[in-house]
Amino acid sequence: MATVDEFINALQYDWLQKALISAILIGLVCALIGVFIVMRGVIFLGEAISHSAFAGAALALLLGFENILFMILIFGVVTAIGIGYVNEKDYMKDEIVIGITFTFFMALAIFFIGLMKTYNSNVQSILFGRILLITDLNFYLLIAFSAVILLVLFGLKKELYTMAYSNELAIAAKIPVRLLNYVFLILVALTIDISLNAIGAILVFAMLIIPAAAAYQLTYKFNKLLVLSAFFGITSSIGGLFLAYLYDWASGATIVLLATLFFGMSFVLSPKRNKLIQKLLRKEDYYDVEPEIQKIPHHHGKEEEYEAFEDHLRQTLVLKEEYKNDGGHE
Amino acid sequence: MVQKLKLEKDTIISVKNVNLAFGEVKALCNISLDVFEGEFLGICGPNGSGKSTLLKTMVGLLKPDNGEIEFIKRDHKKFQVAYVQQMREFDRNFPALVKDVVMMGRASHAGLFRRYGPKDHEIVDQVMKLVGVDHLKDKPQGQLSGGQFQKVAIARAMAQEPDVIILDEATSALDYRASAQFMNLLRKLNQEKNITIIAVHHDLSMLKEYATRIICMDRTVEWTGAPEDAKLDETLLRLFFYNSPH
Ligand SMILES: Nc1ncnc2c1ncn2[C@@H]1O[C@H](COP(=O)(O)OP(=O)(O)OP(=O)(O)O)[C@@H](O)[C@H]1O
Ligand SMILES: [Mg+2]
Repeated sequence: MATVDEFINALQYDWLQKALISAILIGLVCALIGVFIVMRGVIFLGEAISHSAFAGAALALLLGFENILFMILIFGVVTAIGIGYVNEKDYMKDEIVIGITFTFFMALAIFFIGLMKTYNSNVQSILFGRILLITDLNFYLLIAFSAVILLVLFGLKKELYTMAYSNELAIAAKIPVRLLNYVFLILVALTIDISLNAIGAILVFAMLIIPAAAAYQLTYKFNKLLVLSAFFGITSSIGGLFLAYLYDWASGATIVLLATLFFGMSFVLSPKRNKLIQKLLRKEDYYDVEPEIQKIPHHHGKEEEYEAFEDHLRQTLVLKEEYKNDGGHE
Repeated sequence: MVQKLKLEKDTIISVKNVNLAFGEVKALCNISLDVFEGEFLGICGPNGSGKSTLLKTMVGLLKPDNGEIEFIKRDHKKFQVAYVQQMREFDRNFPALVKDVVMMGRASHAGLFRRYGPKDHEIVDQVMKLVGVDHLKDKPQGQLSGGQFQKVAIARAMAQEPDVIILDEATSALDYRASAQFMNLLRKLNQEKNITIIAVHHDLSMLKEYATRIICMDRTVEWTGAPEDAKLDETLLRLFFYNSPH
């Protein structure tokens, strides 16, 4: 076991700095994209894309590629576009499409791994992630892609938010929903692809969902939600990396476990459920869950409203007469 | 006078020979109609008569199999259609305050890669006052009652600065009083802001009272005319009582 001092000392080394920066970026980007995934309710999208990316990685390893990231990117992005296309045609429920994609790519990955003649330790590293062993090239790609993803995400924030609220309203308001749908899917794919090496195919999904879900427990305000989700994502990344280094634990798993711990805490402390917290927060963020009782005494309607109401009753009666005269015709 | 009459008859939406089928089911059969600027058009018809489908094609949610829908705007910028959906269970957990929801009406005005500007905020404040949801602005949208929710939907629609507001049974979840208030609000917007209203509505008495023109449809336009027209009742009786239901 290492000590805290050793960790701080080790921070002067290039490789740990890189690992730390990667962890922060991945935590941040996953958490922010994750908010949109959770809002749109396409939770298993991440699962499908991460498994296709894994299949891509397996293929790249099988073919003996030097750098597997490009194959991962191709698989991830093509899958995302494919899912978008099929969903757009509305042949079946999104969940079914995603479920089939997910299992298909899992099978494909296992198939590729089976074709490998010798045991390849890289397979394990892609499945479980090795944030401490990130290569220079992948590190710089991670920075570049993170910058692009964040830029696009914030550039399209209000449109993606509106679409998450209601696709139909967004279309009616002439937001280019089709285009932005694909852009969003590609952003999700890129996020997963660049996180794969560090967090691992199995757990990257968790980094998308958990920080956002934890933040969801705590606020109804969108901007606050983004900030909280980013906070949970980054804190679990840094904390997880630190603990993994200290105790020589698996880094990806430690990060995810920490994020889950945050989720558990927010769930318990959620002002949406916890009466005590509701009291403490009363002023700021909390409102009665019951709809506000209308304060208009129902006796003091306007004259014309009463007349209209009378009219309405009369008309209803007239219609009822029509039904009667109709001799029971349905 | 002649001038005024002419103005009232300016077509702003022209639907020409629109057909739309869902597989075997023909939902719209050769529908042609004009919507005139500044009118309050009420649409009625039995369940399954294609009312929602017609509205959705107008809004651009569905593509007609053939025929066309033309939006005619003479003076300025792009034609804005605001759409208020049939009320349904909404996601009470969606992270948005009422103000955020109304703000969504501005999303397409601000443009991609732009933030909302002071003008957007100003308009949102204005329409919330106009519609009377001002006091709810910092409330999470999931905590609204059905009536409040629909009013917020109207405010969102208004924030779009629409030429036309299209409503699909927007008051079906509301009690009599709330829907009368809602219709009064629509009338006010129609008369004071000269916004064209197209409303599908099941309450015929309400429709007669508020609409300036009524269309009765059953997959195609069966009749159109003024709400006072005696032919209206006849048509309604025919459509609702004597035609075989779908
Ligand atoms: N997505 C769809 N897929 C298949 N058929 C559909 C679809 N939407 C509508 N239909 C069919 O089209 C016809 C018209 O439906 P529409 O919803 O437009 O009726 P409506 O007049 O709005 O009825 P209601 O008064 O019940 O709202 C119906 O026969 C319906 O079964
Ligand atoms: Mg309908």
